[in-house]
Amino acid sequence: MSSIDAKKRLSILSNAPAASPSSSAGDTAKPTYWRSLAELEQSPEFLEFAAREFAAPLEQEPPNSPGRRRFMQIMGASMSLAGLDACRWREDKILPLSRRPEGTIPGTSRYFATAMELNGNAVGLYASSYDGRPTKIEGNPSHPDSLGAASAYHQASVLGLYDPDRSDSVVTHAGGARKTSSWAEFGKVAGAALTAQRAAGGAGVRVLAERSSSPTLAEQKRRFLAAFPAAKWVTFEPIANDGPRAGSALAFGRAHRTHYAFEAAQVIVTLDADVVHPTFPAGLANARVITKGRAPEAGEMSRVYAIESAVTLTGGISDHRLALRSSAIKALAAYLDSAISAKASPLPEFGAAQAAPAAEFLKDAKVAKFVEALVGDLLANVGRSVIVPGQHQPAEVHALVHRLNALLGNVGRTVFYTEDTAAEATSDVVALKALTDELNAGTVDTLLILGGNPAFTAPADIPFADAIGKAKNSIHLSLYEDETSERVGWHLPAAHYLESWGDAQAFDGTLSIVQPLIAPLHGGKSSIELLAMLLGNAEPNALELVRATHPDLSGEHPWRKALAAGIVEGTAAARVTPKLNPVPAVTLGEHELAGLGGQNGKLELLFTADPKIIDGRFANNAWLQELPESLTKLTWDNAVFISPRTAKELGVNDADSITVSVGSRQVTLLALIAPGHADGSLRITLGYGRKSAGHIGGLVSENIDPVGGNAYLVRSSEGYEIATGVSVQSHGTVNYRVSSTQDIYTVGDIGQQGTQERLPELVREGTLEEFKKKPDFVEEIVEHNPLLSLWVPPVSYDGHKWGMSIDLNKCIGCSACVTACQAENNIPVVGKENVAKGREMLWLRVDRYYKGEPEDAEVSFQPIPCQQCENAPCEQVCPVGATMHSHEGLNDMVYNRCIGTRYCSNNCPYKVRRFNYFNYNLDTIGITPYTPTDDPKAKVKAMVFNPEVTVRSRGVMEKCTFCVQRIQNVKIKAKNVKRPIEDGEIKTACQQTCPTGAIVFGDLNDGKAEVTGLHKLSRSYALLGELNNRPRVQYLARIKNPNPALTPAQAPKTEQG
Amino acid sequence: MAISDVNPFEAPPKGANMFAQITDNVSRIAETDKPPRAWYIAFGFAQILLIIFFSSLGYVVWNGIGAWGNMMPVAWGFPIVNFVFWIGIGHAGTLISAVLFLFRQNWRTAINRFAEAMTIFAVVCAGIFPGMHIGRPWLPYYMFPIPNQMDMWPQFRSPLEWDVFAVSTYATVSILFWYMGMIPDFATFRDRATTTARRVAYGIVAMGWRGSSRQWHVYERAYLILAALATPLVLSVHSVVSFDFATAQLPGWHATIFPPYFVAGAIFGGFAMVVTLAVPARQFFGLKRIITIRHLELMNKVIMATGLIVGYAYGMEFFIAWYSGGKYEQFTFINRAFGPYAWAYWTMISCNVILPQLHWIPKFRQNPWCTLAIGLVVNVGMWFERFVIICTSLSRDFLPSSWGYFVPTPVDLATLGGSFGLFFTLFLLFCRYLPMVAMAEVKAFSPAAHSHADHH
Amino acid sequence: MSDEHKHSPAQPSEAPLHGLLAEYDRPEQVLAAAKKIRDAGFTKWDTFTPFPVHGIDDAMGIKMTILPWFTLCAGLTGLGSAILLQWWTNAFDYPWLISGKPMWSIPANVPIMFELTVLLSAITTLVGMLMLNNLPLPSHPLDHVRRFAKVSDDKFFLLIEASDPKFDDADTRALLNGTHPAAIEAVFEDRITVDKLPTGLVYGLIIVAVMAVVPFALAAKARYTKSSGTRIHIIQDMDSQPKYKAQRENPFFADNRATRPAIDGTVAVGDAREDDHFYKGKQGDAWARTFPSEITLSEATMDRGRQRFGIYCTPCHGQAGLGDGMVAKRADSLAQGSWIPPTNITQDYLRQMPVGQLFSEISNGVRNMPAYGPQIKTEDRWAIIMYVRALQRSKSGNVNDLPPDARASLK
Repeated sequence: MSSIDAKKRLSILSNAPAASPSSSAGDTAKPTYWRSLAELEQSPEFLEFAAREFAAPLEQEPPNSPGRRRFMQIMGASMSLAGLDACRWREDKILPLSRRPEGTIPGTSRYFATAMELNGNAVGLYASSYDGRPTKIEGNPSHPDSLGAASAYHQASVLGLYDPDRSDSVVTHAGGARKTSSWAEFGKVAGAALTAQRAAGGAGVRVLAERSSSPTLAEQKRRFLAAFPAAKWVTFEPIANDGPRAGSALAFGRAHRTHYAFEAAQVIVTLDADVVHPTFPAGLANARVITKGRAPEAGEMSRVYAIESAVTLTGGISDHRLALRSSAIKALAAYLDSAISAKASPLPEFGAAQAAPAAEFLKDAKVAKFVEALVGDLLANVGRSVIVPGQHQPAEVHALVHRLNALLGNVGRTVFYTEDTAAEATSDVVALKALTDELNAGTVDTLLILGGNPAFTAPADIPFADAIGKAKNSIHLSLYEDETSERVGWHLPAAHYLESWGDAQAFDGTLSIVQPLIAPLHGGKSSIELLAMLLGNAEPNALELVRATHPDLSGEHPWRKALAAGIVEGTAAARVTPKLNPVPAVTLGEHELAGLGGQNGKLELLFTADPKIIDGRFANNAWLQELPESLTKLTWDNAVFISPRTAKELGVNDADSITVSVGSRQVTLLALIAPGHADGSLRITLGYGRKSAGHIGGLVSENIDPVGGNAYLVRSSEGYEIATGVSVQSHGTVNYRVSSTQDIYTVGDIGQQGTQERLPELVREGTLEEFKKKPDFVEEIVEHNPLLSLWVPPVSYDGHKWGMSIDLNKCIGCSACVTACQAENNIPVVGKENVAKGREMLWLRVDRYYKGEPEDAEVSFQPIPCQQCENAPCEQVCPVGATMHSHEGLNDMVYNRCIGTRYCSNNCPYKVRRFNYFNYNLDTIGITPYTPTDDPKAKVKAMVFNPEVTVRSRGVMEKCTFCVQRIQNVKIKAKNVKRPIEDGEIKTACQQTCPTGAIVFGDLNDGKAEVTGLHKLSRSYALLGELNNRPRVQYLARIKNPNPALTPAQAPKTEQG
Repeated sequence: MAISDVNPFEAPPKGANMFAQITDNVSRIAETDKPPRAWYIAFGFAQILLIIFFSSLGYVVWNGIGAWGNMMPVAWGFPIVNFVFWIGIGHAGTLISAVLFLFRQNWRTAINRFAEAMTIFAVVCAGIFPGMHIGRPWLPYYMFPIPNQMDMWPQFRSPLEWDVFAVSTYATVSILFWYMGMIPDFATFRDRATTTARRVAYGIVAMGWRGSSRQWHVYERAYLILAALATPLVLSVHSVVSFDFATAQLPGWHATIFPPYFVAGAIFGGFAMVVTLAVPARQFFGLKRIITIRHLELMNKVIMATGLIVGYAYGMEFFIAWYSGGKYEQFTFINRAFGPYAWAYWTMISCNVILPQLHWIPKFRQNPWCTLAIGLVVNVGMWFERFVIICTSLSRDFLPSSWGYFVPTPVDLATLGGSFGLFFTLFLLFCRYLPMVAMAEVKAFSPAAHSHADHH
Repeated sequence: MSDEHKHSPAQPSEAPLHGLLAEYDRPEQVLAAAKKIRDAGFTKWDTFTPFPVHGIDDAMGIKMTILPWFTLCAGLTGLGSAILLQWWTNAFDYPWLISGKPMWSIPANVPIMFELTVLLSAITTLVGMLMLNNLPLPSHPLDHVRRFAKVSDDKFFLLIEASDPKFDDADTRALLNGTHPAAIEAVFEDRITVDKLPTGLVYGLIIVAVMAVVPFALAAKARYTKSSGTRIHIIQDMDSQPKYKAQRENPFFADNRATRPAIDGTVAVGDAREDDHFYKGKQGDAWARTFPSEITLSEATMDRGRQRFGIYCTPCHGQAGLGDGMVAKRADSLAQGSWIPPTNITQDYLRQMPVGQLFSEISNGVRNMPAYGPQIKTEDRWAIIMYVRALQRSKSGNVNDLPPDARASLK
């Protein structure tokens, strides 16, 4: 159906570019606002794009076409009505437990504290357990790295738990062909192999593990190495950066971890560091602390300078942002050192300052002005500033920043150190290289790979994947049968963190016990259990192993306390003040010193962990794949980010397919012109292009294409974090298109002007000065006639009056709320094709607007849930009363009443309503209403649904409900004991997970409620309030705190509107 | 009584009985067992389209509305465009049969019968779309006030609910009016019937009409009343349809000019469809002597007049947008004329406003084939008018972040094309088996019927 | 014109005359004729024309029809029912809060008022017209007059019925001759057409009628009978959803339960249970002899205890705790050997037993008494113990334990 008569289609909607006069519009009067670069650049490619139809991959596809096979995989031939049987309701059985465990009431959920570890840092979480099944993840308020927040990938981990693609059996390739086996079988083989090794002290035994902070695993490791003294234990983590370790070793002689007290900092400078991003150590906590220090009502606001190549979340909230190549940061740091040392007269033991580098880019007027202002601000705030280096920056930069923080007297005030006892001697890459050499040398008899997917993530110049086979016995423990599992002798199913006992440490060392929420679904084992098993314990009990590791928790009370709280008080590592060694003069190469920009062949390429699927481990998680990336709003894909000017110089257009060459290695991806990106710099996120991820992330063996392109192909051990000398070749536009939720449809010349006119009213912004001068300046941004009504409201909402406040000053655009909403409200994924058609189902979206010149664009984020208008335009147009108002002011959807006229969506000024154009919800779990299949895989997947929320079917309209099920739960709880509902007792899913507390929900009739206070603030405004819809959601205008020395660049946009 | 004001007929051949002439001319068409080849070709073509129509609808019902191009923000795409288009077509029929009747425009008698038929068939096509475009097409009865165990009723503030009543009333009244007009002609067919089957069939529908003057008396009175009822109705239907848009908050929809503008547009498009059908009909069924060039010319004049009203409305929309000072309103119309959908807008303008002006030239408007050509052009233009109103306004609403660009799918085109199959199938069957011209009325206004006036 | 008779279908000789029919070629002829007949004072006569001949109404003296009044009434009915329908459904029976608008406001309801007015008027007009013309009229004596077929084509007729008082075959024929008809013909009553429906048709109608009843009958049956089968619903949409509500079935697990047992050793948030006294009834290693601090020794707690005791304990232990509850009685009556009778909780050793131990036994069960820990909240278990203590005291007490006034009441 999809392919037929594209011609006929053309005849209807063709010749658009010809008719559209925007072709004439050159770059006359560049608007200050636009939604994407493609709009700003009036390139011919764009005009084609502006009026184009989708190329083949995005054409409308019937539900069971290959494009949707990603979801339909497990449904077989289920589109057929299953006979008369389907006409009758299924019989629902009730199967209660014969012995109900104490404290559980069927149909109610309880929280269990646990922790999820990533790259050796754990974030404490609460997992809600409904009938003994984990259904939702929240942050643990008492955990130092969470403070109650969770990120998108934490939220999505529950979907990973119920992923039917997870490996469910021991698999061996021993005989060459793949065949399923059993743990017992494996036990025998492994036992034999190891006993053979014992004699040699395990000289042929190698363990390759992910980075972990688990004391119990460390204990197992110790025992293992004790049993096999000659064995080697290698840690490899693709997203681990060596800079912090090596840098601190360089500066202090030993590896240290750096902790920042942003609350005490007046000036925050990030050097290519995204400090508020969840993947940054303690990023969630940083986000909360930094945004807390930026409330204009306090009168004082911290000032954030971001110097970075790619636009980061930190760059988004910064007051001043300088787009600079990552490779130039070192020279900049050296310059800062020289400049500040000159003024600060450092102590003698600090050693000599760096000489001012003769860097080209420093000669640039803009950069010079920026750096000068920055230095001034730093010196003006001695002891009240903090400088943070990027994780992927080299050791010298980290060493220099340690020195700078010391010079500025920040150490002990805003910067603290703890010893990094877990740090390895060498970088992961070096260790992996050594291991690979050993494998190739044939000296490895038994290779044990604990988690990770090194065959996919290993640097391109280290042939680890091929070397695995060289080991006589190779064993891989992982959640999926992935690229590595295919190459090993034995694949072992791993237990999900929600399935296993364990322990883990926060970045500051705080200990958390990892509790299982459910018994392993597929008989998986954790690394701890596997090691214990290999050490001869046939039936290891992880709980006992963990308890044994923590003698001080041996008593019942301390132990229960630790589990109930999710952390063990006072286990944070001791803060130390290491002695700073003199930092030797840094070596600056051509790339470091070059000017801004950079011609082809001399470009830099920055590799970063993907904000959603990290290093590829979450590639099979549909929620994360469909989550619009914060800045590009890209879904189901990755791309090469490139700055507008550089793109023009290279003749690359937006959405062109380009080949990036690093030395001899090449990867071809779509180019995405990213406003604000540094010239001469490219960025690719890792983890895409997986061939054996699963039915979502790509499974070549079943003709399911990989999602995105594989950046590891060009990531070699030199230029591991930042590759230089990169060249680019464009192939022009291709059929393949990215599908993003905000920019796939470009709006043309007129659209830009329209956007330019209205944006100041939509996202209201001002500076601290403006705000102090005129606290209610937001009111004057929109003039409109007094809002009169023809009638008196039929009800006075005198019971509860639910409302929400969203602080644009706090929102960092991380999109954790979006996934939280998806998890809470059973929101289906629709797949790439339907996202491209604008049919994504996300109830809560985070709008992203760029302002300023494309070269150094500023970013604004605006989360848009249903505004719950009191005069809701959607209600009056519904012919069947499927959406109407509750007496608490909620705009309710009655799903089973809705027949899907979609009129409500047309009449919604905010377009927050979502429509089930297909049976998305059932498609995604692979069943249809007509075939209540007992396919076990569908049954597993269905467990992710929130039992308290309707699973919407096809043809039904849906939208944000303010998490009405949560409201009801609390109301019932309060009613049972006849007490009023306390403020903050009801938290919407988005509010609960927001790292910065930007979203506040509550009862507007409660005078003391936080939300009431926020609505009363002078910078609180209703979006499109002039329409007199009386929305219950209000936004707090964004206030910036620019440096007066740099303000001209920051003229308040109201004057340009 | 202006009876002798117009004489729509060419002089009958000498000596022939005019009444018999008329009866024969019209009845022969339905009585012949061998219609012209053109009929068979047209009917075959209509059948193909009809099959496409129902199969594509089946496809949509089975897979979901997503099979169409509808998306967010353009949640209403082709289906509603087609609905408004067809409903508009219907209006000319009622207008000719009712309004012109009240104004004693006797020339209408030649064309009112199949104009009414066209009305009904157009309404049938229109009715299908709203029913099919809803997300759960098996539940349209939720929109009717049927007592149910949920104690849920329709929401009468919704213009869609008004549509349900307006369209169904319109359909019912049109059918009644049409059928009543045909009763005497059915009697004629019955009396001329040569086979029992025909006698019985037409006998039943004729209800034993024998042309008694006492019956004629009541009959005429009833016809007058129905005409009087249908006249406000025809104006109300498209006004109510326009409320679907006018009552919404969306810039480009939220306009008070819509009701008159829609009604004018409907008559405009409707007449275009009448001439589109009349020209071939008179050609192939030898009705040249009943549907004369003069009829076509009169209709062309109506098309030209209503076309100018529509053009005025287009202009007025822009003026109001500018005059209101509403930022969003202004943007919408600039975007409509110069934005990504400019091509649709200018197609509409040239088809509806510019080309019909050719009718100022008498030679042009008196030529059947030019008439036909303009008729087709206007039909295209009126479809695009609805497309422009719905799609351009929706694709650019308040928040730029939710802007989109609607692209139809092959299924969209299949349903649009297919609906013509349904329309023409019904119309061709009508031409074949039913009295295509209101014989009794034509006789009543023929000179022979009034020659007695000279006697006294 | 007598030869005309031959042309007319042969009538059974006894067929009485229905009337005389005159045929005219032109409308003005019949018009003139009509005037004559009218003036002659005939009442039972009529003219038949292919189209409404202008002026025939006056010529025949036809009075104005009352049809418009029918229409008017119908229109008003439509208007009224529209108002009532919308008020009842949206403002009275199920008031909706829609876009913050008043529950009932006329303007929004005008369109439907108009539509229903027109609808009812139109239907009534057509039906009324048919009624007033007493149509449908399947058969008529004129049907047997061949020439009359032309009435719907180009001929004009005038019929005077024999039943008219002034009718006289000869005179009337002469009168008609005076109107220069093209022909005059006698019309005989219809004795050929059977005036009852063909049996086949009748049976057909009966069958259809019966069939039409069937669905309603089924619906009625479904309403008033019980069925073991589940509800029939062809398109089930959201009727049964793939999510797992409390205690549902999930064949993925060996025990088919969607409910999963809690993992041993896990502790829910806020469930640290650090106070052994409260949660275990222990002080150090010994059973607690006092109530924990969380429990206030108050009338309220005692009432709570009585209430909980009544719910959970009386079935076995009886209202007074003597071990004579309903269950015990029933068990005795069955005289099952294996039955261990419930304890009399007022026994001495139980009176001596530390509250902590009582708490533990209630929580974890003892002998064949199940553990009530999962069912009864911790503080409620303590409240029950408080009440149990009261019961025990009541058994051992003597009259002096009572307050004086109560003592008085006993005397």
